Amino acid sequence: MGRKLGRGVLAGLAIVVSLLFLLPLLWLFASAFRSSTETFASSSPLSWHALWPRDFTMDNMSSAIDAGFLTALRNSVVVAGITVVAGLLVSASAAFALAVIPFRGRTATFSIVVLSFLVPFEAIAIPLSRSFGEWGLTNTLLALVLPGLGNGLAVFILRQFFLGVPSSLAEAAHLDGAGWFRIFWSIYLPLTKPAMIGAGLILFLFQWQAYLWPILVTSRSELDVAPVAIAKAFGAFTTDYGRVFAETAILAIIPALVLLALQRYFVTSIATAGSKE
Amino acid sequence: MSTMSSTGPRARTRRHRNALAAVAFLAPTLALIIVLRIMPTATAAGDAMRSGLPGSLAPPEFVGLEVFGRLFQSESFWQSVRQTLVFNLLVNPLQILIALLLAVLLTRNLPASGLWRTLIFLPSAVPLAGSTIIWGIGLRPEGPVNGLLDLAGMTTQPCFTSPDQVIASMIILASWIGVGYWMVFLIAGLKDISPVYYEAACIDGAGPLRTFFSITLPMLRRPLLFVLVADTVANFVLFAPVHILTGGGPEKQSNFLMYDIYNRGYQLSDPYTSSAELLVLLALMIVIVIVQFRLLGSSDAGE
Amino acid sequence: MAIHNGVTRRFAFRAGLVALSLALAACGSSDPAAEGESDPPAGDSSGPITITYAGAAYAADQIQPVLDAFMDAHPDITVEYESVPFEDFNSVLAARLSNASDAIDVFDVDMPRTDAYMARGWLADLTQTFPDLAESVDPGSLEAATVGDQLVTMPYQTSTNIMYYNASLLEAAGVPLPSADPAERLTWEEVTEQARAAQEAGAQYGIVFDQIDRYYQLEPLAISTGGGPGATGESNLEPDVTNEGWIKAFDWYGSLFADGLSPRGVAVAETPEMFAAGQTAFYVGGPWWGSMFVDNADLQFGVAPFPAFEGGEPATPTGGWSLGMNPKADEETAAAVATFMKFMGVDDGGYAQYLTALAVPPSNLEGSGKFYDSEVFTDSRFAGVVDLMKDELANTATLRLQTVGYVEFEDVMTKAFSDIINGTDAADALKTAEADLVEAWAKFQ
Repeated sequence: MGRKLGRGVLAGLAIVVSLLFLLPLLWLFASAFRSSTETFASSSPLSWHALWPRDFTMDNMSSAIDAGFLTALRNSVVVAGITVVAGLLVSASAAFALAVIPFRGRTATFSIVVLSFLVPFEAIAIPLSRSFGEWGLTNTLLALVLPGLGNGLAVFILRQFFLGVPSSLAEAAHLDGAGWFRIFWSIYLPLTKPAMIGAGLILFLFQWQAYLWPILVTSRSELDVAPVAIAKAFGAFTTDYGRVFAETAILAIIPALVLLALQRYFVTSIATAGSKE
Repeated sequence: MSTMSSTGPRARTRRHRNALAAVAFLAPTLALIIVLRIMPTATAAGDAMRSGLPGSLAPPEFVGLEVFGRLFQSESFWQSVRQTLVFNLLVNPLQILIALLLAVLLTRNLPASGLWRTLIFLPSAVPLAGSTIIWGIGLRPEGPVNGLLDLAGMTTQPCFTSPDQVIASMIILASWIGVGYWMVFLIAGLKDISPVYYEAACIDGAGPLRTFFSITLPMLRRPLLFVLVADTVANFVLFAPVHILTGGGPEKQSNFLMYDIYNRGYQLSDPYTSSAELLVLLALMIVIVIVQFRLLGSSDAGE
Repeated sequence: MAIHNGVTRRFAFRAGLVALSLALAACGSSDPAAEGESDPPAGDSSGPITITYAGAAYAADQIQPVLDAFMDAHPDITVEYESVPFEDFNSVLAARLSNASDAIDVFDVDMPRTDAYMARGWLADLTQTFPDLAESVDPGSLEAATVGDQLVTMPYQTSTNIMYYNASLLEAAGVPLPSADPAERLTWEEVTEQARAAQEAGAQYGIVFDQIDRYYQLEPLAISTGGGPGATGESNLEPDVTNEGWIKAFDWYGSLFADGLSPRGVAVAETPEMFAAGQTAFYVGGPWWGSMFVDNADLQFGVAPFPAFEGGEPATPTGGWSLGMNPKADEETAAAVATFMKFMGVDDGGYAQYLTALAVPPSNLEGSGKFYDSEVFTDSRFAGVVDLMKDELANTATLRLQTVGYVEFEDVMTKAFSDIINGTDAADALKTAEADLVEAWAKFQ
């Protein structure tokens, strides 16, 4: 009885906290479906209409589509998708080497990886964009994807989880004659699915939020990614806030849906049943 | 690797093969990181020793440490450093503590945990500019949050418009965004702990708090190190909300180093002072990250 | 700085080349071109050419009719337009004006930044290219496009400001509706009282300024109290924002927020919504909000002149965008760019004729007629606005400070204004601003 009550309290806590986090987003979603004038009018003085549109309208959505948001969204999805797939491969490989393969200079290499994500991207974006210009990479998909691939954070998180896999598994595989790649692919990757999702999120969100870099390396509006399209709603003479809210809401939903779908992979690890250093 | 010897010709071949394998696994990442991050950073570092008119197309002249000299004599620079440290010393422990508590809460096999996790994560999926606008409007002296406070009978809080509350408001904004994100990694870490340990603790009669501190936390050390370091970095380089909402104010209370770096580099086209400040910021971060690795990263081979 | 002089010498050489090539092309060309063109265009000296135009004022689809018309008139020249978000325009220019391969050839220049861009070496000298510009554009725009005695940009649009009032809110307070006649301009003191009355009678806000913390919007306050534009000295590099006029103007401005007449914590882009929603009695801002307000059938508004302080000179915000040429452009590109600039700023009244709706008056005197004929100004609520705007542009329009250090100036002043809005004492905020300006301008001395 006490346990049921305890679990009930916890469940209630979970709901309350989630709703608190959700509240500002409810405001965002409501604002996507009403005129910006109504949005601002209902925020002060406060009325319950702040969260529920008085005059529901799809104008913002059609205004977003008219401004080419679907193309921008497609561009964002393509760039982010490629970055996640290629980035996971590249980062997981590097993490594997840094966590499992013994070699001289491992610490030093890891330090370089750590240093690389300390440097804020904005600080190097302008000189880097000039280099890309010199290499003839402006207005290319490659230019948009490349900076997202070398992601020290993704390597770091995967390395931490690879360190948690018992080395006895690798040793046994070695004795069976398996090479490093086999061990990587067949042992380590399947055992660290939640970490891969985490790394995938890091890679994905880097591109999903990318704003400055695309502006610097692309000049054609067909290549705009979604955050750039949103920024262009802030013109010199007019600002279409309704469109901003609608586009922001769409951008927010997509990663959330993906994460929701991937929740089933967050299962308790079966690998660590056994020795753990 | 206790069953294998570490000397002799077979060991050497093995080491050689390991080194080759390591190179193969690391090559793409290292190439990308060096070309796309390290080298431009070195260029930026070089800029810190040059000076010229902002935005000028003419090549700058080399001035050695003069830029740093001027920077270190500037009162507003030191104020930036102070404000940056204050913000970070407050926001990092807060975010990680809340993320950890939420991660623990949402791994108790409660119904619909997947949904709650996604809802709490949702803010970090919103484009940063969008979140900033939402909270900018939300925390207005006459906005919805103050409207709620008003209903509860509390006085209006100036939030972003007050020099005394701007850092707290930034912390709220950054935490709303960040907590869910870091929580996901901690959940992955919690799920990685074999239930065998919990069963053993249960058999030994350990209560929930004891279990948490003796088993959960130590086993969470590796993901926790990641979250600690990554969160620290993320908060040190945060600038977009300052740029959009406060311009470093009121009264320079939110003039964080990264915002100043961005403002000087991008708005004022002065890459020289901007690079010098960047190097200071990097130095601060490196020191703190080293301390964090010392605290949490100790027993792994090669750390 | 020695390097600076070397850069200037290179420009003179380049400019000479441009002038020479234009002269040659004009002599040799026999292109039939568009009707009504007196000067045959250059650009056909060696076949088709593409120029890149980076703009912050218009979105791609908004400017397309103008570009299409240009390309029809000059089939040899293709214009590729890049729209860059207003906020980041400065950094994109910094990144793309220096390298060769995908360089921007022609770009929008925010008028007050002309001196700064010239000093950076971002602008080609156009004095020889457009010697008779004074005949085509308004004097304010011409002055903004000139540095020393060199013409360095082609001005194409300017701006002005008016004061909107909410008739319903004023009537509810028993306040007489202001006139749109510049001769009956209200004073800020009067407006403050009327705003207070309106607020007591139920308006949520008394008065809101459009660009609430921007120098563009607030400079006229300081001009009107006799405080000057903010700097003095030979090249306007001695900050002067702590004089009596400035302190008086901004004590007053800060009091609006302290007394609740204006809201704190509001972003510039959010202010027109407050007037459109019928929440504020007075809105001081640009005529470009006209269509947003007119679209709201329930909003009963009128227009009046931008007020002045009692006993002070009236002044209104002005200035807009010009076109600049990348000084590194080769001769053919430069010739094509010059043709484009002429099309935008001079030919038959310039770009205005190809746009369906104009937000601001063009700099071109002939073309500005189209702005004043805009349909939105025929709405009964806008009665008197056209004569008002013409009058302001002719008599009270005050350019922003012209100085090499303008970019830093605007940055520092925006922060100071923001602090004043949020409650910092005006004298203190302006003193801090002056110290910051001294530090920021040290490199220009």
